[in-house]
Amino acid sequence: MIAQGTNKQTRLTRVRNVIRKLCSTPLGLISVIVVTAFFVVGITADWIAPYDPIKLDIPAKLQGPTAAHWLGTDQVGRDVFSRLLVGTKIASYLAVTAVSIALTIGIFLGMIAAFTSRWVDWSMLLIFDTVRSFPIIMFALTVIALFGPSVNTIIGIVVISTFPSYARLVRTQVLSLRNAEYIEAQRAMGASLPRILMRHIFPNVIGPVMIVASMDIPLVIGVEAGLSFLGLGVRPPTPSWGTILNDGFSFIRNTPWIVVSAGLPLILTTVAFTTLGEKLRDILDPKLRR
Amino acid sequence: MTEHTPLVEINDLAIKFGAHTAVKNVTMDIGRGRIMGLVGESGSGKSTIANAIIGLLPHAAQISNGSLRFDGRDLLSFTAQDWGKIRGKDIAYVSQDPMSALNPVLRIGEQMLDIQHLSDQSNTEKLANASAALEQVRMPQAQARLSMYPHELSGGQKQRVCIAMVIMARPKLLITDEATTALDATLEVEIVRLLKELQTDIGCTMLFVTHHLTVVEELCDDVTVMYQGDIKECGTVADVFSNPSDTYTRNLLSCDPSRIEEKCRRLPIMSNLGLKELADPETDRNRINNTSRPLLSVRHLDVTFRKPRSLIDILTGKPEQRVEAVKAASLDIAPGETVALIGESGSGKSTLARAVFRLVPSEKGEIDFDGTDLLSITNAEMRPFRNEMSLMMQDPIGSLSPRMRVGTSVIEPLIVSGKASGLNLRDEAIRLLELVGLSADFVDRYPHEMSGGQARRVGVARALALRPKMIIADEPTAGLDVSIQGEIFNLLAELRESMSLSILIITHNLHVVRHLADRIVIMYHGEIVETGTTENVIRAPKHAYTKVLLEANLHAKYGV
Repeated sequence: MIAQGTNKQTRLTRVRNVIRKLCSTPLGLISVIVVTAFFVVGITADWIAPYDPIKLDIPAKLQGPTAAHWLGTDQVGRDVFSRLLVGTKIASYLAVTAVSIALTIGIFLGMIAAFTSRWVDWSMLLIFDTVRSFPIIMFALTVIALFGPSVNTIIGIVVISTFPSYARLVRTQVLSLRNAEYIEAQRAMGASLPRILMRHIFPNVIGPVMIVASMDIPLVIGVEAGLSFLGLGVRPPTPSWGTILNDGFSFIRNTPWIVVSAGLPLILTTVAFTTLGEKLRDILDPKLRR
Repeated sequence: MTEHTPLVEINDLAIKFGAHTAVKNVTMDIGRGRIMGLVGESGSGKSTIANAIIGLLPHAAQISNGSLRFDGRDLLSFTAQDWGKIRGKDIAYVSQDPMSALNPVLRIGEQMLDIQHLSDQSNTEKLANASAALEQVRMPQAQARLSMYPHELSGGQKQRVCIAMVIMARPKLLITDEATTALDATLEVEIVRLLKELQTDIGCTMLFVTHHLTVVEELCDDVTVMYQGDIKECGTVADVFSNPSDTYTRNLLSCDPSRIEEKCRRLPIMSNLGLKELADPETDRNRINNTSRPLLSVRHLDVTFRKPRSLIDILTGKPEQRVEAVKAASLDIAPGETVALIGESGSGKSTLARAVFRLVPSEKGEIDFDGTDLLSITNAEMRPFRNEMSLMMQDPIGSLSPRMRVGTSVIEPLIVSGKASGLNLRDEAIRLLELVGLSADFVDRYPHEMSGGQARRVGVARALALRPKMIIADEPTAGLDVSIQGEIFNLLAELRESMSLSILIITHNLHVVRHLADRIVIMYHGEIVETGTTENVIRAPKHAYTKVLLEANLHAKYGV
């Protein structure tokens, strides 16, 4: 387009402005730090973990926090801190993959539903609502019973259970934009449907969807932790927040730090992502913008 | 308090929004039983004053100086509880949009009951009050209206209900903020007459905020003219309108197209009053190329909207609901001619324009553009014709993509039609913007960073990008101040001369188009009821609706 250079520059300053506004409140700042840390640790876990997370050291089992083992050891002597870091890797991988797949499917189907015939729209809505009406845990248990527990199964469960909400959101947004005057002006000019969808509707739809997505990440982490806790998620000995919780749960009376050290980051990231989503919504909402 | 002091005394009042001063040391009194008109352009601070009197200033606003007294009481020292006691009882407020002021899911009667919740009368008595109030606002079949929902009433009737609701409490002061702006000309006259009668009936004082000079002249006793937060002039309507002492007021009056009797080629504007140029019949005749066939010829066009039937409707054999928006409309536009399509809202004039662009499907009829029937060709065959005609949408800002820079929006037609290759698009965007009188730095602005008039110019620039033969402009001056209206019309007049454009203007504002249009087409309830040259239609209207419209639109005083 015209003035590509200046466009990019201002887009950069706009992103910078949003980040500055996010960091201007203590709660926003904390959530930005936690979310950044979550992803940084997730990416670098294998290098920064001080011990091999699955190496057994039975003599050193159930030790409290020491200088050598910051968060102590579990019932078979594995370093809890290292397990926690590598667990973060699984959690962040799951969060990013599952949410982006669900997002892509949702946006695509939502746009189709809004721009095709009424019958297609109705049947798609029926499917979305049917999927959404399933209790997620029952659905997860059924799928795991059929396909066996694994990371990919969890991704599949999360994608299937969350894409309908993105699709519905996109559909409603597109429906309200479809009759907007600037879209009608495009049609009067003879712009093609893909062009209208990609150049004019997509940029106006993506914002709210991203906010919902950032609030959905805790859900993914929670599902993974919950299923792993039940022994239906990530297979042992691979560490994940859920399996660490499960391990620690049996020893909660004598060695509570294992549960605490996995539970605390779980709560912290969940709250941080939700806060971040809410703050983003407040900042990006044009009606609240001055 | 005594009956001799004014009801509202504003002394040296200054209101700030952050660093911006919206109202600068304003001193103004509203006498008891008077109707005060407060006029000014958008952004002149007139609504801020109205909001200050009823204590509804936004949080960002800060009163930095002065005093504001109502009936002898200091309004600036009021707490939230004090306001609760005075709002709606002593001071009442009618807002601009009657459509959104009423709750759509409650019946009129329920809403009128609800507003009396503080009174200890029985519901029967309250309902009696409500129907009496409706009668007072001259609502036909007042009793029956109580059980209706807002959507069952017309816009004018809704505004009547709003007024009935506020006068039930017998307020001492009634504030109306642009209460007639959203209404059609014929309805506007009704409401203005009603307010005037009410004022004599219940004797309340009124503050009438508007940008419409004719209405003030008709309705008010006193007038205050505001400009950029300052009061320019204050006095009785007779004095100010016949003998304005302030330059701004004088300019404002001379810019009002409804006050210019002769047909003008250029309308005077605030920044250049000398621009006024009378229309020359000779030039106008030369501009229009009547010898060849018309550029656009619409023949017996029907546009029908169908309400989709649900599965249950189909199974029970319920008939389809149809709305005939355009009925057998015929219309010609010669090359170079400017035609005004006039009608009230809902008369089908915008639908007709959309049908020409095939944005809505036509039932039957012909749309002949430059020798081709647009209704009998495929979408792909339609594309080249979309380059030869442009549609300017009603909402100047809303018709620009909100996340796209103005420069990109303006050249969109070039890209869409595939004519962008080989052009320096930034230069082309600047050229187009300069053509409509905007500076090059508008290229990088976003739609929300412009005023309505600037956005309208961008709309004109975009419409011209492909050098079309015809422009259809839907309400090109709606919501613009008098002077900006003139600027936009001068721009269109200039362009049609330099580019030999045909223009179809869709509007309900007769005042302005009568200067610009060669011919007038009147549309009423989906049908075209009258067509003729501007002079003939205004001098000798044939259809009953045209007569009503003319009466509502043009002040008898100006000889038309």
